[in-house]
Amino acid sequence: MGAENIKTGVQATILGLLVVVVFMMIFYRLFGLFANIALALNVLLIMTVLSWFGATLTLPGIAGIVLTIGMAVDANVLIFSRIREEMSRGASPQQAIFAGYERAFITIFDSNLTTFLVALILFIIGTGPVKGFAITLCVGIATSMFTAIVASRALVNLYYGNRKNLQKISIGSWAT
Amino acid sequence: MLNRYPLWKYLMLVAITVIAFIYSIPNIYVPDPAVQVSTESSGSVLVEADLKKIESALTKAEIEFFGSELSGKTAMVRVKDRDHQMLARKVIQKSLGDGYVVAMKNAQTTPQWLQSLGGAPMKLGLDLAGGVHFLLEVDTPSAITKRQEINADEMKEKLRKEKIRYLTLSHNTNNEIIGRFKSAEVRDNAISELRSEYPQLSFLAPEEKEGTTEFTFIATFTEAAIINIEDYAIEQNLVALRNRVNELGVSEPIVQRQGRNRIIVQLPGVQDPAEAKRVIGKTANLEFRLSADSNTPVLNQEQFKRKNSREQAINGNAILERQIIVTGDRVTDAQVTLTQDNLPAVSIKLDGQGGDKMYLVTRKNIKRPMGILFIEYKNRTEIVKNAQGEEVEKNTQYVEKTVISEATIQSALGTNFQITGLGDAEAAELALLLRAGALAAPMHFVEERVIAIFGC
Repeated sequence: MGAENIKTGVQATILGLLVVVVFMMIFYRLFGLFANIALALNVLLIMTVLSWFGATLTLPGIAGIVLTIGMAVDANVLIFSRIREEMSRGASPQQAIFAGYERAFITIFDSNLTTFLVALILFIIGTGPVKGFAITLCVGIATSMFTAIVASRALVNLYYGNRKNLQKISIGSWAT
Repeated sequence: MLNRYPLWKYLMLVAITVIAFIYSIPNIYVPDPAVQVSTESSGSVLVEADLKKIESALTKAEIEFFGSELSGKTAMVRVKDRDHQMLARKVIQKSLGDGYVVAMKNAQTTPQWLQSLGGAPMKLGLDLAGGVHFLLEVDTPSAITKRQEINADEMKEKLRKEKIRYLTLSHNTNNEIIGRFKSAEVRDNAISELRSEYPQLSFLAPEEKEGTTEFTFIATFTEAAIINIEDYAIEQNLVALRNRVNELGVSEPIVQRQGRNRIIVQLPGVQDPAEAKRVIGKTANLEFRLSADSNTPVLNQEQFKRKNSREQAINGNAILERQIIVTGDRVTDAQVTLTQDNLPAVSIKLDGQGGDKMYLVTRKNIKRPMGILFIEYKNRTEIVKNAQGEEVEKNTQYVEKTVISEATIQSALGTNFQITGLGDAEAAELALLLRAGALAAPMHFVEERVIAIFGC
């Protein structure tokens, strides 16, 4: 433990975030951008909730936030892959977007729920560093579910939802 | 249309985004290093004059400061950087003297309009903010052994009083009290007498072999009683630790129980574990002494200040005899209670030996006042010039003895007695001090970590 460790820890977090953001932009183009905006909102929401509850941010807590960032991205990857799949099966872009969000939701919800339950148990039984990790993980799962599904869909709907003859969407090269 | 949200969903998202922005903003304001001053006793408050004194002391020491404020029980001044913060703390402590707690603090710089909306930055844990971390283990088995010793002493006294004859009655290393009697009848008599007095013990009378001349009982603590004693010992140590930590002048220290018999102490901003350890590891003690009267020879008198400054102003120094009746390690408990007339009082429990001594002295001295002396081992940091003319810090330990209570003995006192004639707050403070001075179970350090201050 020490300032040096924390510095490298924070650097690793920022670097990891950058890689994720760039990856999403390259692989999912405009959809990746939407996911990244939702991701930023997720981080803001976690900070808001933590300062409302007066929770203490610790180094393991930062690890918890990084993990939920990964989970939020994971949720978006699931949705976008589903959309690509629907389109390769011949669905129209509008149908594919709709089906992608609707069908991926169950998978995301199930996997997040199990993680949430584990985090809850860690929070109740654990002390010290474990608790700090668990609290940000719990908060992060709740907010990431919201941002990855509701917020990213809002952006997609806002951009594509009103177009009647939508032929092509910007979701990465080999889906079109 | 398939992919359209109703308007309210967009509005909700916009609202959530705006709220998230507003409440995240406080986190980008870097806190100012500051020094916070509060009074040592809970009764007194800081006034404008104290703040003036702090300001003039800082000006004289040529330390730049800003944003000095006074809010009820605390005053705060902000300084430029951490070096100035340390210096300011010393200057302020010196100018105000004893009786004030001067702590280093990170003052939040959140703008007023955000604060009025309830915005505040996230609290940072010790690993991010820097500081020292201690883990202490409380020796609860010794607390249980001590309690059983006390019980054995008290049982003997009780049986003697009830004229029940026993052969031997003692406790062993397994924390059992074993009583031996001449007949089964006497033993059963003893058990029924003691059982009501000690609900926390379970009494067992083993079957006798044919032709035995010894009849025994074994008294052991119930599981619930052991947990009770452990809880009490840890609670008592927590109180003592908090009192000590307050003296270190650290803002927002954490003193917390962890698990069954461990205590965590976290001191944000402290970088000198040796100093912290010295203060945490020290002990406070109590002495019960008779007040001196006109018959007491001058050689046998000793003067002490009173802890309560208001009482000190009214009555002046307390004069006590030099003989000690009982010391703090004989105090087993002190709690705030109510008298029959619904007035606050502090009820004090002594162990068997302490009770005997207290009885012997007080029965001859009814209507005389008795004082309770609180002895603290404190640290004082001074700036002295060394041989080269450089200013260096010097830590000196000193003993501070103050009288926390002086009350007239109304009747002969034993193991249980009460101190009355106090206010609510006074009673609470006295009980706290008595417990802090009473020797709780010993504890030792099992873990010690220093976390460097990050981001400065």
